[in-house]
Amino acid sequence: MDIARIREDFPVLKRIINGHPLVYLDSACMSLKPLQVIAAMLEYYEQYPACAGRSIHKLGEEASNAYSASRSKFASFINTAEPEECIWTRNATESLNMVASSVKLPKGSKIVTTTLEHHSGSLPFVERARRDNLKIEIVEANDDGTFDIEDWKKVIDTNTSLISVVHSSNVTGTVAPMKEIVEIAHDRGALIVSDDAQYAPHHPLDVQDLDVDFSAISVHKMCGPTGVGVLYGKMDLLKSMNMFLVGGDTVADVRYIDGKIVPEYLPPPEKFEAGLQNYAGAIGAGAAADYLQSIGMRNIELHERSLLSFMLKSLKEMDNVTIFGTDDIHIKTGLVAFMVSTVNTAHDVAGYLSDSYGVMLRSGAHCTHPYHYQMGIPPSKGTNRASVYLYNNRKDVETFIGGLHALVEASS
Amino acid sequence: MPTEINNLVAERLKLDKFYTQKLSYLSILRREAMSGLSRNAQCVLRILESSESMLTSEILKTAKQPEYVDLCSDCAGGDAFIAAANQLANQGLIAKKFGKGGYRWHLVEAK
Repeated sequence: MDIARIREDFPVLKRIINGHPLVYLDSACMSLKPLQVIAAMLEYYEQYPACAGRSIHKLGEEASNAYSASRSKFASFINTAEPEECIWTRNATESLNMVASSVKLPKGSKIVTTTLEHHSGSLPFVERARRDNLKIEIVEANDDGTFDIEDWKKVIDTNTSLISVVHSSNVTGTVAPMKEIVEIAHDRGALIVSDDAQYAPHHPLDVQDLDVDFSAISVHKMCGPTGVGVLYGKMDLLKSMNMFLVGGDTVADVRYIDGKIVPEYLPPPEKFEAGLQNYAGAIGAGAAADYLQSIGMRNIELHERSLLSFMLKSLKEMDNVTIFGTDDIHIKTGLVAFMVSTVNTAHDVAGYLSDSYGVMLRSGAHCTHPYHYQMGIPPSKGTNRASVYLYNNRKDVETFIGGLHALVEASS
Repeated sequence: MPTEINNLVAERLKLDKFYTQKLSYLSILRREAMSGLSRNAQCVLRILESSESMLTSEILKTAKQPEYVDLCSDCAGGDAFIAAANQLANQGLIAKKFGKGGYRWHLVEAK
């Protein structure tokens, strides 16, 4: 990978922040956007800003073609059996809510989730259980963010109907043993939804190989625009699901018979894409998928592992720094959560590094309050998270570590 | 202290003197909230009014006290709350300095 050339694709990396070149280590929250994605969206707005799938004029045709092509590009990116298994949503949160709200589950059955989930991976299922009086059971992650497979075998039983599990944690970075969990789930007749918000941008993702039933992805974390996500679902499941939102574009016909309005809904994906869609966003998502594939997801994964290894080693050498999550880089996405003992809140670490070094990283509880409580960390104290992506280089990590040394000295 | 705060807010936000004399500090803040000062920002100002200076962690702890419930939101994690404090610092209403334990914040003295 030619990192110097890749960095040229990201105009924001030319910015100077507080007198320092930008060091962006917050890609786990929001990735930067390459010119290729910006150009694809700009082209839509400049050249064919029309309704896709509705208007039959020339601009409408071009919009329809680009919208449809983007779905195919994304389907190829995660290797679905057919493009129509990709539903455009606003983000992974909406994708997870769509599953939690609309999938049919037997009365009295059990939902399983974990302490490591992002709130978006747990709360929709907690609420579904409350709504339908279903049981819910929690698998507790180990302190380093790994799972014991025996715990899954104990919790998933033949009464389990649905499992929500984060594939790659946004706080510990740990990658769940998804294939093993899927095997246990399917063996006992349960469906499984994989929260791939942090996994898809950083690793090759093959939904057919993993055999997950659903996968939720946020495009803004994978070099794409904000406000776009994807729900992957196996076609037979998508067909059987209840509606989520209804309205224009979801129907083949709406008849008026004997004083009643009778809708005839379209098959997926249209069934789930009500109203005018975020065409520019979807086109940007297709461009992002193309961009990442042109570099190669395996190359990106290896590059991140190299930076992660260097970052972990540097942080481990520091007194006053506690690292959370496994240090096994082979089951870890490119992020490190940590605490600095000389500073009272993680927000001050993020503020200092931004103010004094132009280093952007995340502070807080990262929407994973249960894990923070499990670790005895009040959310307001929080942890810091430094995350790398394809455009980061060794110098970025060196600047971050240098800033952290200065911070410890200044705050001791 | 309330008069000083009134003058400070009035000066920074270019308010009419008559307005600050007739209205209470909270009234000014409530009015300014409508023109852009967030509830979290109001909460930070009120908390700093009660002390010469405070660490970020102390502000966050104080924000959870019952008397601030009506103003403070998003303070469980603190992200939005600290963002509001930084906005006030950028407006020159408060200042921060990094030292032992982290950032220490204080109101900017009215001229």
